[in-house]
Amino acid sequence: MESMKLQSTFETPAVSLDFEAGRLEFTGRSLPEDTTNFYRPILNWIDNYIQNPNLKTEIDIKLEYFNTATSKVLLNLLSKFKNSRDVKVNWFHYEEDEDMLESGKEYEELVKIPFSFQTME
Amino acid sequence: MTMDMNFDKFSNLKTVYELHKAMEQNQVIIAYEGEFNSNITQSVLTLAEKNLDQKLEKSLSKRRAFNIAVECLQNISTHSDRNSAFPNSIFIIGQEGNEFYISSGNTIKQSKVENLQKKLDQINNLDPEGLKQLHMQAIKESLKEEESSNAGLGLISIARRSGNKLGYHFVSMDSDNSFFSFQAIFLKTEETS
Repeated sequence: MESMKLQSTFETPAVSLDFEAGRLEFTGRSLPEDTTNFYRPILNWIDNYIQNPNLKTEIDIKLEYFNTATSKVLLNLLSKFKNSRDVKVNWFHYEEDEDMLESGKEYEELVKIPFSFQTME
Repeated sequence: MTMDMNFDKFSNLKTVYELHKAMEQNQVIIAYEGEFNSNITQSVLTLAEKNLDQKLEKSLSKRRAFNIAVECLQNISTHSDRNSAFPNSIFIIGQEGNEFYISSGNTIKQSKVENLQKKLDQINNLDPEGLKQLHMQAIKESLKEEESSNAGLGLISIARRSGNKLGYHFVSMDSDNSFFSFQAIFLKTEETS
């Protein structure tokens, strides 16, 4: 399975979907009004990945901002791993950004997979 | 040629000065009036971010302001209808001392007013814990529905970041349309980091 890499833009995050390492990374900001075009290939990649996943999967969410349209996609994306074994979400936030931390806690409650909360510089 | 003469010849010159005065009085940081589309939204947002960076630096307040600005702008562009008789909307960020306000105004169909008002009142009657519950419920439900229902989620998110009641006002423009004015305010917090 091919890995996938996308550069960040003003309104979309840098994305790295690494099949070999079992690591999915989202870094930056996600503000697109229409999330379909940007996230469809990513969701497709994940659908394929969970058919034949790595022994261990880590999902790094290092977002500074995301809009409500993204918040829906994020729930959809993380929910895909509900029945996967050995999956962990590393949810990053800036130290003072209590809102981002709280968002992470909400997703942890909603998707019921293990989360680890970490600060970023 | 005297300056007064220009006022007669170019009627807009008075408006320039009057708008300038009004914006100074209301401590407007940025204002845009006109048609909105995703390119314009992005330009306004870029400008808003530059201004907020100057006023608030990298802080929780800046993140909240930026988040509210994103949701307000995207609410406008979701609702605005280029084919309507009133295609123009307005977006304003301003500051009064430690208080920032983010406002938007756009035309919506009369038929949507009642629902929107209900949503806003529901949000305004909730405390932070209630808003959290409503948000979790709305985001779960949104997955089952089609694209159209972002607005409720956006308003909840604005209310949570604002920490204050949402201000709103409707003015009837004709039998089909109302003008929806909206305002979120928030206090610049003392940063601990």
